[in-house]
Amino acid sequence: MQGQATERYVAEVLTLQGTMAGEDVAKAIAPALSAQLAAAAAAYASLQLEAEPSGFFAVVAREKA
Amino acid sequence: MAGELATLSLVEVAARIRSRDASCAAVLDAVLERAAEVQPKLNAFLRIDETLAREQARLADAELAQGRVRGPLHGVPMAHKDMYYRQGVPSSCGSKIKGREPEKTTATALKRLDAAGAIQFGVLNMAEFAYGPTGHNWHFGHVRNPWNPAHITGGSSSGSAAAVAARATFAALGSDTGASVRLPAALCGVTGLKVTYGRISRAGAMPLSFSMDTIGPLARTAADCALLLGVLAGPDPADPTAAHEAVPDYVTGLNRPVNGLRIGVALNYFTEDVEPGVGAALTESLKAIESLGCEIVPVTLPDMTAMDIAGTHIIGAEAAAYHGEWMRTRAQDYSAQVRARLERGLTIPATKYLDALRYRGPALEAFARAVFAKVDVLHAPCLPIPTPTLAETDVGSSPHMDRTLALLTKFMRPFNYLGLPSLAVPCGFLASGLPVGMQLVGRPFAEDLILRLGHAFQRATDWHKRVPQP
Repeated sequence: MQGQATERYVAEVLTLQGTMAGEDVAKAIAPALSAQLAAAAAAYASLQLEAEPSGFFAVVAREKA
Repeated sequence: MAGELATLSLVEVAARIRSRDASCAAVLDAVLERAAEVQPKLNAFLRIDETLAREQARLADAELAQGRVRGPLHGVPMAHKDMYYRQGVPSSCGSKIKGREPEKTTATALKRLDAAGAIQFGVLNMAEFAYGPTGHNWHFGHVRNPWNPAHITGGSSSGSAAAVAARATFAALGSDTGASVRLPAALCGVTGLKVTYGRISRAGAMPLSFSMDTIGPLARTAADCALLLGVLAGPDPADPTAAHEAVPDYVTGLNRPVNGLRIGVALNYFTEDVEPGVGAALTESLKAIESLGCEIVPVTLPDMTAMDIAGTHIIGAEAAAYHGEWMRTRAQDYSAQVRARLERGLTIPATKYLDALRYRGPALEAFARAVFAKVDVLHAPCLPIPTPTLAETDVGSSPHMDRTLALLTKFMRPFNYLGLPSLAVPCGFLASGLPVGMQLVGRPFAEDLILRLGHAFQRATDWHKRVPQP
């Protein structure tokens, strides 16, 4: 299901962007992308994420040598 | 004499020039001769500016004769990845799209090397727009590994690593967004430094992913990298992301003791997919580090796979955004491989991109808790597999190619995501004669510590002194 949605999304984006690719490229890259997105979703699911990405620099400042 | 000069390290040749044991002109002759010899076999250079470099060397010698030394790199010839802009000169960035119009500004990194006295004598081949881990370039020809031309150099700083390894330049700038300094350094048997995010100004360097891009040197030794980092690091009004952290004296710091340092070895993640020859070299490198008086401490890492994936999403989305206009107007001028990677970036939802950015702080916190609460430096392989061939990693070569490409970067990309410094150091050779690299990872802005450990390792071993005969 996610693979089909991603494939459709790829095709739409590529059409909108006016690049050549279209469905052939979408079919080629969608499975790999679906797997990546699914893995990322699983990885982030259990995390308490901050509202904004700026927390990274606060940790850098705290952890610096 | 010429051949001998080319084999010196950057630190050694700079000292010879300063003491006037070697003239700038003679040193330049040596690298030009070596570059001409290896270029037909390696395809490392995109352009050599011989006339201009000779004039600069002549001036540098004249200055020395008058007792004037510009800086620690006075008269040292170098070539750089062709993505550092110099005003009035086109930069191809390894692409067909750029490289026709002269650049309007000069990169801060080049300005600082110039001010330190270095002479740029050419530009080096690279992956198209620095977006590829193998060293293939379908516009300018693939770069070949100096240890065996059938094998890849790694990328994206492919020409930088090949030229340094072949002794055709004393050092080179590379860039590391997802392994692009450390991977080619490891595969070509040279030393490469990925700095803390923000340690070196990126002004005037081609962007790939603004949240992940770092600039770093490839050279023969950790000491060479220390000398270069001291020149390159520091704040820059032209780059608001350049850190204001004090720049220590990296060279003086090299000789501080390493005994008593705690070195972490991962019980997970960096043990996955490691092939026996690579594992054996890494084990030997740990023994060498232990013999320096360091304590080896096992550590269990947090979810590094999630960090690898999150980093991939950030690079993909940001690269696609940066290339959006060219993707709309000049899609046909990209190689099919780079275009496909950029198209993949167009499909990453904004929510996933933002999740990847939001996860960055917690991920660094988790990593610091698991690692830096227990050890000073993490020791890890640069990559788990032996160097693939060009054919194995070419388009459509194998249904397993995606996995091979992922294995090339999976041990290094998490540190781009975490923003941490990491030094790639040669630590052995496989039976095939190809080099193996280890990485030493430190806390944010702890480049001095990983360079010190790398230097101590290189004083105890000779892997970095071996010279390929392409």
